Amino acid sequence: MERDNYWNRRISRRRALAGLTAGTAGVAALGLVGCGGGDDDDGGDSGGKTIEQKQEEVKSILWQRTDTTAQAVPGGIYAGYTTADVTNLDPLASPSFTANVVGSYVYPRLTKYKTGLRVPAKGEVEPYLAEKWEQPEPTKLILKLRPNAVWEDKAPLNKRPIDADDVVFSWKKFAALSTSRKDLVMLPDNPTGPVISCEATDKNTVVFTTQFPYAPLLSALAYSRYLQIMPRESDGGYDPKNETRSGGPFTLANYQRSVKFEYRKNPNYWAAKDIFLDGYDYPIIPEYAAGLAQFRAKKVWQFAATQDDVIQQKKDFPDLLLDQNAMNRTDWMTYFGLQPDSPFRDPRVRQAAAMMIDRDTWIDTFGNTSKYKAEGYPFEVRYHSHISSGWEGLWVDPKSSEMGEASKYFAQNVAEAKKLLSAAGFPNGLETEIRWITTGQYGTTFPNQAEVLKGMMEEGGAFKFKVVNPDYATDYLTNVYFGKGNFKGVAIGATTQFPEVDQFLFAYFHSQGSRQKVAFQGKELVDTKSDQMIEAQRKELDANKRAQMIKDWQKYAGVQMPMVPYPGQANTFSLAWPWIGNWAVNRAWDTESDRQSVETRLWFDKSKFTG
Amino acid sequence: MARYVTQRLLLAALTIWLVSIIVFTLLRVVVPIFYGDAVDVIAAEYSHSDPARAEALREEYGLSGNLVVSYLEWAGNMARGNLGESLFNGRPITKEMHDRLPVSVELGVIGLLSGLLFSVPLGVAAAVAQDRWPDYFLRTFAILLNSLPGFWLAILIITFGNKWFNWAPPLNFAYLTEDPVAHLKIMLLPALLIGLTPSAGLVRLVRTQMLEVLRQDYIRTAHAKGLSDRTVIIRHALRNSLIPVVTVVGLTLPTLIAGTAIFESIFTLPGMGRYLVSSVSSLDYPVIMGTVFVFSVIIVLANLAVDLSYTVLDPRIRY
Repeated sequence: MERDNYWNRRISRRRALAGLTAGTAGVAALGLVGCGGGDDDDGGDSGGKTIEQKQEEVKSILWQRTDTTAQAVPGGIYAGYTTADVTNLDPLASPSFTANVVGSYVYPRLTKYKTGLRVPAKGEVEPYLAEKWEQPEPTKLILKLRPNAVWEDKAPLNKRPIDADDVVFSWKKFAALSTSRKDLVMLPDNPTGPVISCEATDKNTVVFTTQFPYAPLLSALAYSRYLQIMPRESDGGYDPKNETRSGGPFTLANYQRSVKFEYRKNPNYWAAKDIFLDGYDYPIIPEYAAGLAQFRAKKVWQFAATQDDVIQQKKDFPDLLLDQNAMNRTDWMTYFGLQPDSPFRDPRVRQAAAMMIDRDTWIDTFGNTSKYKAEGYPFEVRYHSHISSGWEGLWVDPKSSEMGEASKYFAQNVAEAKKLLSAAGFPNGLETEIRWITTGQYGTTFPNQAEVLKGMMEEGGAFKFKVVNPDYATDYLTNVYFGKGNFKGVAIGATTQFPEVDQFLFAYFHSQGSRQKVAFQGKELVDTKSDQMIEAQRKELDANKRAQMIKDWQKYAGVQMPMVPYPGQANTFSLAWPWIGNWAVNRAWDTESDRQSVETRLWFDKSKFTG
Repeated sequence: MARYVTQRLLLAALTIWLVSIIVFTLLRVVVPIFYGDAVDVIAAEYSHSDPARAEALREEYGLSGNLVVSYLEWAGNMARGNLGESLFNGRPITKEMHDRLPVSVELGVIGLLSGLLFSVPLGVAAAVAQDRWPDYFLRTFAILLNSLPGFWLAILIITFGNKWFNWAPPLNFAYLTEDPVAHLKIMLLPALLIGLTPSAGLVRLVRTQMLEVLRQDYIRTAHAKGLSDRTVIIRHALRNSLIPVVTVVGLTLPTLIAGTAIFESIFTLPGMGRYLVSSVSSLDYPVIMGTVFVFSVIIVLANLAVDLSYTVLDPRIRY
């Protein structure tokens, strides 16, 4: 109970933060919807039951992910929702990823991720448009396209077979226009890009050539933000910004701008017989409270309720399916300005910042773990290393002995942190600036998370921050996020969740990475050892050896502390109505990239429908 | 009268021209200086600071040309009713407006009408019962209503409507011409809510004007002639107290039409507000310029209509 004072302070902060958040329209309503549950730290009504009894109860109500494929009846339209409209419908040339979301329903890719049946997916790759492949040499990948793939029965394609020329066309368009092109393509201004070329050797064969053995290539080809295969007729034959021509499992049958998307089963898809539902309707509901109301009224079948809301919704509607989510692979960062006079050039100052963080409290505050615990919900808490704790098989637990010397920097130790600061020349603490955005681009909770991190770093006077809240598009992104260390003080921000860890490591931690925050302007403070370790793992084709190399890098980064990772995470929970057959049974590796594997397996169980 | 109307029309045209220069200058000159242009936003967020791609986009979007020529082209197109195309999806803005403007106008008009139906009787009632409890109650109620944002009320209605009655607003938008019943079902609540906040101000305005008119000699004369209170209030007092109300109403309508974005988001309506807000966040400048310009024209025309309506409401007014 030694933590009581500190803990209570944090809970008070939590209440204050909740009050702040209630100023926004959507979240204000959440508090009201959830008011039945109160804001008690013990999770509300205890009902006189012990924690053990509650745990047993929750065990019995947790969704068991029953595979009902054998009972599946074809038909029905899924009532879903989405929160945002798209900029346009061209996934290879849109300035926004939103186009890739639509594209993931209609345009196929060469490979796809293997889903996990009732268990989390592992990121393995399997055939999609390419039915097989071979690697005759480490820098060449030859893919054979399936012969029975055709485009939608709509002019000007009219069921034309999908061929290698479509792939090459799409690659060229991706390399020229995609905003993600630098992640994959070697260009004059992007010499570290792995892929040199993509060529067709016959109607059904394409060859990718890389400048070095690139281990994650097959995985990259499965990612919906990269190479979606579009018909070459999209160049003049139809307007790809406003229309689609499907070669994948669904067609975009109706799109009303700002209103809704309607996808329908593509009868010409090579595996159309495996799709149970006739389609998906997604009205655009940007307001959380409106979405929650639609879910509660059963007009929306599944809803991304905030973790604060999950317990109350389950109590209000015991019929709801409650599923425990796998750990996510997101690891946001506290990072540092590295200008010539920056104190953060000294690793001891960065280590001190890392040691100020009370990770357990932070995870509890934002992961709702106290309430979950009080209600008997099962969950695991993990600290992030410099990669997310959701990277199963690659992540090194900072609390374990495997992390070695770096482990101490992930444990809160204010006294030791102050010693490090003192040794670095700041015996009275370090006064500087701290930046984060307060607009909604990273979600409504993010500013609160940043504020709590700031508060933790300021404890005992170790750091004294002047808060700067930059404009997202015109200041934060240009000067801070993409600033390559050319700003003053500390910044807190999101990172992209890539489906392959290499893309994350290279983008953020390699001195030449597109989003790197570790080498000033990419030239000064270059950590050659870290760069070499990152380059080596991407060239290693043996999965086990590569995993070890990634673990070794984490241990190295844990000591150097180029950035301070977000504290960690706990399991979260999802809710859905019980008439979604096979809900959460096929586990996606990347939700957006796995439509063809997950959405095709869901079915409408009319016998359970009460809407 | 004809001269006055002609003068007003010329003044309106001049105002619109000046607005076009201001809108163009702000978006194509001032905003890029301080915040960057649309390509900067794209390049920063998605293009990983890719100068080559950024330059190509700038060329494609027509952001690198001569500003005077660009203005003349844009203004010329505007004059011909061509508002241009969105930078990001290439859709004609005129087409988008054709689909969306009626939704926003309908929201604004229904909101205003419902607000008037609500506020005029209450304002009259408060004036007639001056300094008695109905007056105190109505004034307090009006202040309360004026201080509650409409979107907050909307969230409360959705939240508690759902909690208590398992109700949620309709999801599938239908145009009036397609399905009038479904259309009204989805439009009515947001329209009523939009009208609620301004109606609170109108209650107080009507009350004040009524009190002023009720003290006039001709009202005393009307009473002395033996007319009933009802006739005096409705025929003589109300009509004369409405002139400033018409001014406020006329100027409120375009504000209501332009300010529907939050309600459109909450009730998933495809109106102009959402269109404008989404284009602002991406600095889709042709859309911003087009919509701001159209809103400006609506406001100028509303002002014109208000001025002209005075002659109808008060025959003593001559120009």
